[in-house]
Amino acid sequence: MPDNAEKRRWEDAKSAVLALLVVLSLVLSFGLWWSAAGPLKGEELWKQETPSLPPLPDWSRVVVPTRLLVHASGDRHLLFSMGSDGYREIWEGGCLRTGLLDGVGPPVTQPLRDAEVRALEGGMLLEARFATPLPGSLVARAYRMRGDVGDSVEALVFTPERWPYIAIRRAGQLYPLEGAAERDFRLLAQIVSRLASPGVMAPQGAIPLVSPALPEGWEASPGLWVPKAATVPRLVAGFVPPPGYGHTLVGQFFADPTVVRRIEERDGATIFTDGRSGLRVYPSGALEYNTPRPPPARGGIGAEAALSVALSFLATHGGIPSDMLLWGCWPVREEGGQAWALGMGLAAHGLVVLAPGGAVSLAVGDQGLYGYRAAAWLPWQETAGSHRIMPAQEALVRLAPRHPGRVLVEDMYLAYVGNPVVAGELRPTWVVRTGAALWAVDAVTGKVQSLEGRW
Amino acid sequence: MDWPRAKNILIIAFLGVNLLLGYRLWAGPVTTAGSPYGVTAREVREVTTQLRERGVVVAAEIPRRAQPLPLLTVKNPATGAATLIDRLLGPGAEVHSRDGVWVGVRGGEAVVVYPGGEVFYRRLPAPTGGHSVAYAAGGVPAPGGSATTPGVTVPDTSGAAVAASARAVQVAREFWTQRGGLPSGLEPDYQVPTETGRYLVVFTCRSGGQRFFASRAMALVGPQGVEEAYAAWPMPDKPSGNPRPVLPATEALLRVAPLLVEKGAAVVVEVQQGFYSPVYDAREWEAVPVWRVRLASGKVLYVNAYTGEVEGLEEPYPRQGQEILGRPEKQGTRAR
Repeated sequence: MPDNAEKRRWEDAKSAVLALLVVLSLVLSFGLWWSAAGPLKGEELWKQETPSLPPLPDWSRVVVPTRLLVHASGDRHLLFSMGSDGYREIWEGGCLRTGLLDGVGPPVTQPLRDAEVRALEGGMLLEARFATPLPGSLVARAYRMRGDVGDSVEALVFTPERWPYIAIRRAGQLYPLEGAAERDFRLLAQIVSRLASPGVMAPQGAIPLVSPALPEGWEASPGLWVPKAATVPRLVAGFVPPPGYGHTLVGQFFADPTVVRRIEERDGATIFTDGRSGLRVYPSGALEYNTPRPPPARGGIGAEAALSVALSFLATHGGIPSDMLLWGCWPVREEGGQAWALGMGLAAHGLVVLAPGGAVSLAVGDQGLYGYRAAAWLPWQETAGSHRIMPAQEALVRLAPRHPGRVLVEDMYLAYVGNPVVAGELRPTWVVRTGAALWAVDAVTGKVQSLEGRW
Repeated sequence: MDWPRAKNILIIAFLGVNLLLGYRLWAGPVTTAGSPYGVTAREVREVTTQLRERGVVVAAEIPRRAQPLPLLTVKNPATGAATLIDRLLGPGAEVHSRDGVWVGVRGGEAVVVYPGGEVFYRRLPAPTGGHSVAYAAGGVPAPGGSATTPGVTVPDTSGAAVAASARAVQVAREFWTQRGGLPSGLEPDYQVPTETGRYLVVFTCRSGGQRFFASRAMALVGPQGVEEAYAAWPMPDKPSGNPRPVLPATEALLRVAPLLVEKGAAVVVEVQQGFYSPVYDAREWEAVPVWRVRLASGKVLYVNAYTGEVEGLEEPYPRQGQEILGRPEKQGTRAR
């Protein structure tokens, strides 16, 4: 019967449609259930999307001496600035690759007596100075040294010739490291001897050093030597923030960028905030990030852990430039536990590039990072001409009115100092450390400012 | 069984179900917090009970609807400090400025203008035996007492109190009208009697169906008229981004309950959705959707409706200008 066949086909078609609708309803129900889970909260997003941490630099590249002072026989005193061929040859070739520091330490408890120091100074002496005294734990970890190296290390001192020693300089005194005498210093001695000979001085970037004359009432710490004369290139910050620069940073600094709002300041800066943390982006591209510091949970944090946190933060917030180094690491003692302020510097033409507190400054407590400031100067540009810097003595004379009374100058060196929030010239500057104070004396104009950061 | 008929019914039913499911999927995810329907009456009751157990009494209707909102772009008005002083005190005021803060004095009145545009007005105490002030005739009788039970202040709803309250609003409005006009878009928001026998009258701005609580004019009205006034009116510009789901009011209250308890016996007298931001001396910024929680003590909390964080905790009356104008009487308020 044709009618029955047609009816049957119709019923089959209805059955197929019904089956299709049932399947579709299941698919839609599942889709709805899936979407009804709702937007993820910030913490969940963080857990799910935490990217794998970029590789962190070797600590020996970050905790690095900024100057090598060579005192050779024949009353020759030379400075090798970082980045120079001589610096690389001595430090990397003569000290690190030969493993001179591996496993040495801890230092002896008593410093060398004056007579012993004088005897050492009679021969070849290499002093690898850090820009500021660094916690011994950082130096020990960077160079795989053994034991407790102490609270602060100003320099590592090598005497490769007559009495093979490695010592740390702390508060001007030398403390020999145990286990160093058995090391093979011959390669280091050869390199230093060769570089200190008159014929190869200039091509290797060595600068003569002098012991500075000081204003009346001022004293110099043992081991204070400064460049005799120098001319430095003019550097200008070259970073130009691209349009929408601030918005591109929001994802890096806030766990849930969707709740972040902005405040356009009258000076052109933009603040991004989620109500707790704030990121200020200056027109120059400089950044300032603060987040409330939770109450300390473990009573403080060590310098090593603080630097680890800082490096991880930098690696995930713009990266760590190859010429970035640890300029300073200072304890911040607050009620309930110790935190650390870390100042990073950059290297340019053998000098550290700084701002007060550091070109990049970070504050780290036991609950993590709670403050970050970064100048935006990279890539800087050399402009025509150069600066002839004023002698160290003149810079100290300019500083003297700011520092009345008896003063012990513990260190003094040349650096570039820039305004962290204004894209302008990086000024050649004499950095002077007197006790806990750090001063910057413009090496051209003599203008004085403090180099201490605020955390 | 009539299978053909049953199939027809099932096809129609599944078609309807699929259409409904499809629409829900197309319209976006369903979340309680983000839905315009917010929370159920039962949830509100449960949260009210929970809050009471934690020491927070809710003497207000908790909104059940939580409107998804975007951020709100706001700008500072371009009016200069000198113009504002002129408007409030009239020409000829003695004006001086320091660190961006402008102070104007004329007769028995003074005005302070802060860099962000916040304006404080105060009628100065008469040096001897009182002085004539333009608004002295427009005062209101001191608010009457109110019955209280432990922990809760019961609003005084007597006819006299309501009339006095309405009169205070009228006096405040006249004050602002005669002194250059209320900033645009401001409407009466609330008024409360203070412990010092005055009324605090608050006008806030409404934008896109929501109040912007930071844009406001306040006046303390006493028997002698307006004694003090405050205004700040960052101007709402436009929504920024797409509307986003917000926390329901119940969730916001639960988040801030510990803070409310910390502030003493907490009695919530109003919960309202809107926008808020502090007043910045900035060119432009974004205000965030908030739940405003008004307490019987007169304090006001602003809870970020996206995150549940406290955005601001304000005294009944802003205090900054008092540093310059001198310390006035205690400004505590009672629930109305």
